[in-house]
Amino acid sequence: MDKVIKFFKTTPGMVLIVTLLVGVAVQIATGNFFTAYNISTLTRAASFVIIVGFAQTIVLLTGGIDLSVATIGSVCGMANAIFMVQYGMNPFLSILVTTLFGIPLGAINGFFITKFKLTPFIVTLATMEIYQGIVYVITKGMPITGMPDSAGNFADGVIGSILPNIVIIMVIICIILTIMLKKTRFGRYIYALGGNRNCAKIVGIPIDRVEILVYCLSGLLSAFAGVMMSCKLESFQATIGESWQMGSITAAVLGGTSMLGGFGSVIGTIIGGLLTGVISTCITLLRVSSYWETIVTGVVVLIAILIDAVRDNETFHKKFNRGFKKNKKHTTDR
Amino acid sequence: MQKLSQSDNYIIEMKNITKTFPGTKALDRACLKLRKGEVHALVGENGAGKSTLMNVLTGQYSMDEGEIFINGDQLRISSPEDALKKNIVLVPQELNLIPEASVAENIFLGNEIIRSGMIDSKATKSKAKDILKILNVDIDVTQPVKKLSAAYQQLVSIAHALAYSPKVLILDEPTSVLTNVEAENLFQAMKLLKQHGTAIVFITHHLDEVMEQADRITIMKDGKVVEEVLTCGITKDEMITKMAGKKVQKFQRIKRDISDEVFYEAKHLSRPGEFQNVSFHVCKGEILGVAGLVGAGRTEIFKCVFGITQSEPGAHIYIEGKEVKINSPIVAIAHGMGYVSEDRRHDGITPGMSVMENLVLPSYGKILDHGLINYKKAASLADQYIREMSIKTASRETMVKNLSGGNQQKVIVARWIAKGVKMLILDEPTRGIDVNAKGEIHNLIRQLADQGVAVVVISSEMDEVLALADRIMVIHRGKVSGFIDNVDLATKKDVLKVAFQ
Repeated sequence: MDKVIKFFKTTPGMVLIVTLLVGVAVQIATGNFFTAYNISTLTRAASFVIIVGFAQTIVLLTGGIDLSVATIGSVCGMANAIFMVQYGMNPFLSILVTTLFGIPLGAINGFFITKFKLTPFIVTLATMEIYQGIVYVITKGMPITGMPDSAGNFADGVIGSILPNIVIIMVIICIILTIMLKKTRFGRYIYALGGNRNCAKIVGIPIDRVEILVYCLSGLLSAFAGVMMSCKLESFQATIGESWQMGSITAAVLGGTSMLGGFGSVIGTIIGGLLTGVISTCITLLRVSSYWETIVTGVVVLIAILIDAVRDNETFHKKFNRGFKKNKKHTTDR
Repeated sequence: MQKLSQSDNYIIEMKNITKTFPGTKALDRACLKLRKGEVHALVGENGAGKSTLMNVLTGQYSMDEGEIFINGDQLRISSPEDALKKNIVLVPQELNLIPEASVAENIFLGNEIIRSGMIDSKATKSKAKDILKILNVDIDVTQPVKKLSAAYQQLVSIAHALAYSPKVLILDEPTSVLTNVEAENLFQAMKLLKQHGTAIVFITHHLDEVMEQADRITIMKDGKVVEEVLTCGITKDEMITKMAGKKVQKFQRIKRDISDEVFYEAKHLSRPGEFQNVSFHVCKGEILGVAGLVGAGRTEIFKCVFGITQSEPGAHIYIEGKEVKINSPIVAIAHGMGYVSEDRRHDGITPGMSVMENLVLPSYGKILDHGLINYKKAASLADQYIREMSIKTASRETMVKNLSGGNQQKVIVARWIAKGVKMLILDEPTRGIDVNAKGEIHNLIRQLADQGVAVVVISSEMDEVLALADRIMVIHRGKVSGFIDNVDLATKKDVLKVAFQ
């Protein structure tokens, strides 16, 4: 019980409460938020950005940032479509191969960041543009269509009309990553690197290797999201995953991951990703113009991090609690 | 009440200040009275609450209970800005400078000289020079601060405080990185400020400095004020007893038997601009003291030994007789070496991690089960060292940043003992640590050496080197100026003689 209370005091705990409150409010207003159909659609849509959010979380934990996540997804999604449509490759082999293709794309980021001591922000900004360009050069901006149904069924399928395949996959990835982060040396080194890079170096952590692997892993996860998205749509467009770059950062940060590194978890990222998913669903349910979506998301993000900041900041805390404390004092005096 | 304080002519009066942090009562009804134009020493062990009390006075922390009076008027100080407005300025123990900005810019940081809406860089430079002159420092004020040695950075930090023309100046361990000459200049400056009516709070572990510089002394222990006395009314030993609550032994030399089996040997280590042609060896179970002035190149030599930096070609390293190449800390650790750096915050601890994780960070290899970390083993390892080294912490899960400096240092040393090192390099292991914790760390170092570990202790405190070392290597201006083999008979003078010969 103590652990549960402790969890709700953390950032992801608070965000989860906000998410549920929004859901309940919309349920009361429209009566159709907590339906099997709505929940499965919502989680299915959110899973993609959450998987990219995992990639972002792991990079943020080291104190870095990966702006190229969306375009890595795009390149690999394109490769997947080409393999299936033009070469008639077995869909599952194609998914596997093109997902693995994310590793070298991530490794390029890691290589420049570690070997030349460049800033992750700049390196991934550059590769983001390059990968985006590659997609436009190859596709000339034209969509690739005609992917086999089996691919679409796999990515978009739902078990028992409530549990989408992609959600199951996302949860499995989360479990694997959580074990990796909590229980392996590599995982702890990621936190140590973000916590204090100088200290990590002195205690003999191979920081370059850890960092390259982290960007490879980020590339792998982003590629998987992109590949699955192209399967889901049974086609590829250059705009796939356009919103993932910022969406992944939003999910990670709402989930309690520090932009400075050393703090956070992938479970938090699920919660952060769900909140943004819930907002966009609610806007649809409430029949608000979808143009409002980004505004509402932005405001909710601001409110969420504000609550978090107030909670951590002693001075704010005092100001907000002064009235409350005075009452408490009276009761103890009695 | 208020009248009384006015008649006593106190500039600052802190009454019954209480401050609680999660798990600890950092201040317990602490009081402090400052007179105009006095040097008031604030002494106590690490974690006694000195820094916390000063952080309350300067608005960094808000107090839970208590009152603060300035010239007899009660006042709320709720932010550092409030304190600065009242000309209460703190020079923190840990440097707070912007490394890329120039000396002059750093001195007037937050306090810029503005003329018609722009920073007047000409006036900034000339006034920065004037302030540094008070401290008897003559350096180029346009160079970036990162190019200065730690000692000069400290002086710039003090100059920054002086730029606020303080009525109350708080110096937290100002001399820990200064050489004797620089410290003397600082004391002269303090005298000058005193004459102008500034009240100076002087926090230090160097009790000799307290006896020489302070007019009055407030002694703290466990968040409480034990006593407030005139300096002439107390001796150093009495002060130590009051700080510790029990009698503390002075550094005591213990004669030890050492094997003549060489563990580590370096020949012709050089790094241009840092040190030249350094050769030495360390035996198993030996404590090699490294003495020399700050900036002589001691730290740089041992950063190179540990593989953080690389030597020029031509160097040879032997471990247990075999020639090896050490080009990264990973290799050094693989050869059984450990390193405790001089700057805890910069590269010693990972502040946001728990005591346990900081302790097992290099030892994960030892506690893996089928590739996964066995946290039970980690916990028992951590508990063992927390107990054995009497690390004061609420639990092993406490974040290491919430520990006092001395306890953080113990965690870092424990980290390498847990790893099972054969050679340990300690750079300024007791800097900014109170007398008792110092003694504990000294005992620990001896125990390590008794177990056959080759230990290198770099220290600016001559007493420490003389008490601990079996052999002393003296460094002067990047060169080994000599070794002292017979430490039993050596004095501070001998070390200096070797340095300057």
